Amino acid sequence: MLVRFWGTRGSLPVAQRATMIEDKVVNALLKASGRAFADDADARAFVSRELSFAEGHSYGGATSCVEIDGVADSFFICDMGSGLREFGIDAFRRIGGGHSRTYNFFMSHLHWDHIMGFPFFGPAFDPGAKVIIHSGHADTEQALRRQQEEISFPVPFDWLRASFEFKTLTAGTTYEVDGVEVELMPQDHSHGSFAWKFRKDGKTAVYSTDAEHRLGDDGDRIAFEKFFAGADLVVADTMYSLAESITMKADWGHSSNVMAVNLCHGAGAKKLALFHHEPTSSDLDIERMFDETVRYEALNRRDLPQLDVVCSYDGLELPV
Amino acid sequence: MAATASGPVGRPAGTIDDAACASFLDNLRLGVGQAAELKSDFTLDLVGVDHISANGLLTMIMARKEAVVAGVKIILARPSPVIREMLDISRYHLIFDIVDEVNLEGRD
Repeated sequence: MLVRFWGTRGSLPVAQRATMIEDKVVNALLKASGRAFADDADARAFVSRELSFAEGHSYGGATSCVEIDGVADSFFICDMGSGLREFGIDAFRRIGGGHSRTYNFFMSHLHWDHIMGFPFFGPAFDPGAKVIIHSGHADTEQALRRQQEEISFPVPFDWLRASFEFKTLTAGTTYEVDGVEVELMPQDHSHGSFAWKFRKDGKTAVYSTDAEHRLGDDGDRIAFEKFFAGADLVVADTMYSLAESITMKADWGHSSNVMAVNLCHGAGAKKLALFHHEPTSSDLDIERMFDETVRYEALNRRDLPQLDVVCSYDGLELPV
Repeated sequence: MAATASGPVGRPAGTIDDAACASFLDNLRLGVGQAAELKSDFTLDLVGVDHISANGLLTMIMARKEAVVAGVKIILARPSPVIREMLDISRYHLIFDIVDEVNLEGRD
């Protein structure tokens, strides 16, 4: 199983402004002062070893889209955020190498940032493609059709050439999709959202974004610890700090890094991927949040096994 | 940053783990109630606390919500460096006054 992150930003896509790139270049030049690089590989080694991730790269700005690869002949994709456009381009490349043209989507929910990539999903125009959209929401087709209506977009849904099938799944049932065990679980979010769990060959990955965990709700904690139990990877909504998520931004439908660590510790999960990054956060802000989360995990762990914490970015591939 | 305690002072000690959260909340409510009667702050002296779970952190916010309604300010005082880190990572400085020193003269 390989989890590939095509979009990791929350709420709204973001792009690097010119001054942000200039700041990174200036910082790198200053850190490299007096150095000479023999070749491209030498320069890349400097970036990799002597600059932090935020200094030498970017966490990216595409909204939620995560692929679960290596589990089936078909594609498995969680959500249709703006990262879906890049996924679609890469899917054509892989199809050229013989990959199946069946796409299994699993929708957390239907808010704008989780479906906005669909109008730019190239394979939707492939008459040989089969697109199966799994959702806990019965109004998924309505949401995608509405997004394509003329007032919002020039290409109506009915002009798409792929075949489409919408499946409404029920929480609490284990489904088999192309040989993969799939479960979903309701989450607290406006209009509801769903976490997804994928099991294959003894490996488990959980995708849980746009989920609010409320103060004093033990039932919520117990349910999530059960759903995350023993997972090899949990991709979790860590948009806010604990204080923000519980006070100033209560009812906004999101979670925190501290809550994600706590739930994963309680569940005995092995790895946590921080996800759905706040759009106003700079790369350095996200990197600081990541460093703090690693530190918090160590402080909170005590006699529990170590939870490996990673920070997702657009383009990250995580073997599970 | 330092402060002078102007009302009741709570002194939890040791580990505030999940099992301790219920009694922790009871004691916080007691302190907030006393502070409301005295129209004072409630100081939570954390010097004796060596660990606090995430639920313990949440319990402090539950007490804060009730304190806000009662017009009481909760001051978190003298956290150890480790507890201070946990508070900072949780961004508790945005919603609590956190002081490294507190004058507890006359309060026991």
